[in-house]
Amino acid sequence: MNNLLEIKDLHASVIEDSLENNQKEILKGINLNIPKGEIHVIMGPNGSGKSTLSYVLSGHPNYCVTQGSAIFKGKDLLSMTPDQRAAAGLFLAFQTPVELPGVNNVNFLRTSLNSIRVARGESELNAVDFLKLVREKAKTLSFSMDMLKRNVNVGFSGGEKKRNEVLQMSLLQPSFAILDETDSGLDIDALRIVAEGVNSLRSPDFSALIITHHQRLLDYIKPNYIHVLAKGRIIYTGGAELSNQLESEGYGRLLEEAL
Amino acid sequence: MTSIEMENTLSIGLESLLNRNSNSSTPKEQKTAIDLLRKNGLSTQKDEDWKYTNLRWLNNHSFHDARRVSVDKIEQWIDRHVLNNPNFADLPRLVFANGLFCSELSTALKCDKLNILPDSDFFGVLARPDREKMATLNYAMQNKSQIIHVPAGTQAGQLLIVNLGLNESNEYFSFHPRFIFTLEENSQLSIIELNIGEGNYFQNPLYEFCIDSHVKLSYMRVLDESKTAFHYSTLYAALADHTKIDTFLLTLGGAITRQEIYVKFLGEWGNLQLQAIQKLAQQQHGDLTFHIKHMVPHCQSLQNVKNILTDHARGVYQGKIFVDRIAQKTDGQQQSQALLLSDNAEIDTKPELEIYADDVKCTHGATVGALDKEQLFFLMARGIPHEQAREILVNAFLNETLEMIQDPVNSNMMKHYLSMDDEEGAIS
Ligand SMILES: Nc1ncnc2c1ncn2[C@@H]1O[C@H](COP(=O)(O)OP(=O)(O)OP(=O)(O)O)[C@@H](O)[C@H]1O
Ligand SMILES: [Mg+2]
Repeated sequence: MNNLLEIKDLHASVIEDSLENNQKEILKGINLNIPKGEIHVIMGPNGSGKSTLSYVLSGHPNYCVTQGSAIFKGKDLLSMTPDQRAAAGLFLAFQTPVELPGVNNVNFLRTSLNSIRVARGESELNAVDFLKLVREKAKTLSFSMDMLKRNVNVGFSGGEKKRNEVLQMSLLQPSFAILDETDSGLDIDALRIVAEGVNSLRSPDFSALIITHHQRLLDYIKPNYIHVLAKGRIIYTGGAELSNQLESEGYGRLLEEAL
Repeated sequence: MTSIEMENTLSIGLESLLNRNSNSSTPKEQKTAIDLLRKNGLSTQKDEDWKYTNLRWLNNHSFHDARRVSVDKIEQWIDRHVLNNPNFADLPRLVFANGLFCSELSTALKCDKLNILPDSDFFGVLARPDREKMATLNYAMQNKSQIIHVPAGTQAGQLLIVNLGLNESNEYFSFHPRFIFTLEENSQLSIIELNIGEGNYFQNPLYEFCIDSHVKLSYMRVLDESKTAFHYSTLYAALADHTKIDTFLLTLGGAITRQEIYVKFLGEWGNLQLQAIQKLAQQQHGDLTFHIKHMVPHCQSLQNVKNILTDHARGVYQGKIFVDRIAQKTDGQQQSQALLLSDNAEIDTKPELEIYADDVKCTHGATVGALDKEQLFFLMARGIPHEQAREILVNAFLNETLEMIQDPVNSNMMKHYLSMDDEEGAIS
């Protein structure tokens, strides 16, 4: 089996204090296999559960899995803590990255990279080597030195936050990246830079799950498959050409057929 | 237990203290204080400012006179905590061990910018032993004062004060040092005070700051007392016109600590910054009680208190701003922020404004919260383990306050004690 990630019949609910035992189910049986080296896309209406899927895969404490499994590199992903998942090679580019006032971006990036290196049994990068690396990465992503010096995402524009996510991805070199609407809010140049960021990671050992509402990113990144997620289930899977069809038709016909 | 019974038991602990004073020639101030305590006892939770912090532990021990510590032993501590620290090594210093002055290691005696009068008979002028009971206790137990005087126009630079508490026995020591600072006009002084130690002791210091016109004073106090130590201090300051006072208190160690500060603005255009951080764990209890009195117009006071509480730790902050009828254009601010890292940690805040002038700007705000879940998840999703992620966010919470310390020596010192030494990764 060459699957990097195997998701079987995954059900997940929001843990909400106000809901008490009445958990709100959002993912209602997701089945998805992502082989090594492939790029898959998830599209789907607002509120269908795309971000929830990305959170559940990375271990967000607000959600609980009520049924099903997710096997990553042959291991039970769902029993790992979020930092263990990151060390195992999973990366989530957040739809809305949080701001960290009082946390310097460079210090954060270095702590992050070194945590993952240590967890993988590699040695930590010293300050000099790290700065060299981060400068190089920042340059290819047109990420300004000024933004490196500032606090993480504080006062960053929407697009700058997204670029910071891509910078983190290219530093951490994950084997599996989930990009949750990383293309939203990017200008045309930034979109191309982000796409290049993903493409530069492309290799037989890198897979990605790209969540997007727009076809444009897919002009730069050719996916192997496109899945349509609606109401907590994958209702349709097609090839790269599906995005054109969705762009012109919308989700209406697929949703009707799925019912 | 009825309150009467509680009072009686309280006096047992107090008796063991007061009985130490033999009948030899007792100065008038001391005698008055002893009489006052014999008559009224110490504070109880019925007293207004003592709702959250008590002295019940006093009954569990009988207190002995602190023993003099050998110079060799003190030197070991100075080596470890001062000479080993590049921030401190070269600073002129005054060293006290168990409240007793150690002239051998006090290099500040040679400093020609400071007049130091150790073990003086003068009791001081600002303290109100008739009002604050911990000051009464200090007066009752101590007839000597340590006087530090900065002459007019002198830029005295930095002074390190080390207060060591050392007890190798199982019984409790108590010591009650008194420090009197007088800064004449246009002078400057920057004090770093370390309270460190080991073993069982009760430290009950009293401070007076008489501050003349155009004085600049910075006062950094680190409370890193022994885990079993009690620290109850009282500080009085009177500020003349155009004074600039920056105070920073850091509470880390000590079983129960209470720091009372009473400041009076007596001259216009004074500016006081009172920053405090308490980082407490286990059963620790830390109390900050500040009273700022604006008696004249155009003065500014800022209180900014941060508590980081884990386990069963309890933080207390009582902040009062009093503005006299004539103190127009007063700017008085109080800020309290608490970070509770466990369900059993507790913070009690009591902000109080008493304002008799009509043209003033006084504000207070208090927030209590846990660490932000989304921020914590973000850091962990980037591979950072839970404990470390938590520490990053706690430090971020503190950074905002630390950034307000202008002097790099002071700021490095605070970061050092908070284990936040500057990371080499900073980009230039
Ligand atoms: N923490 C939460 N508390 C309550 N409801 C939640 C929570 N997280 C998600 N939901 C609900 O679950 C549903 C799915 O949300 P999700 O964010 O996964 O959608 P999405 O497909 O990513 O949508 P979008 O395209 O708008 O980003 C929504 O109805 C949302 O309101
Ligand atoms: Mg979403």
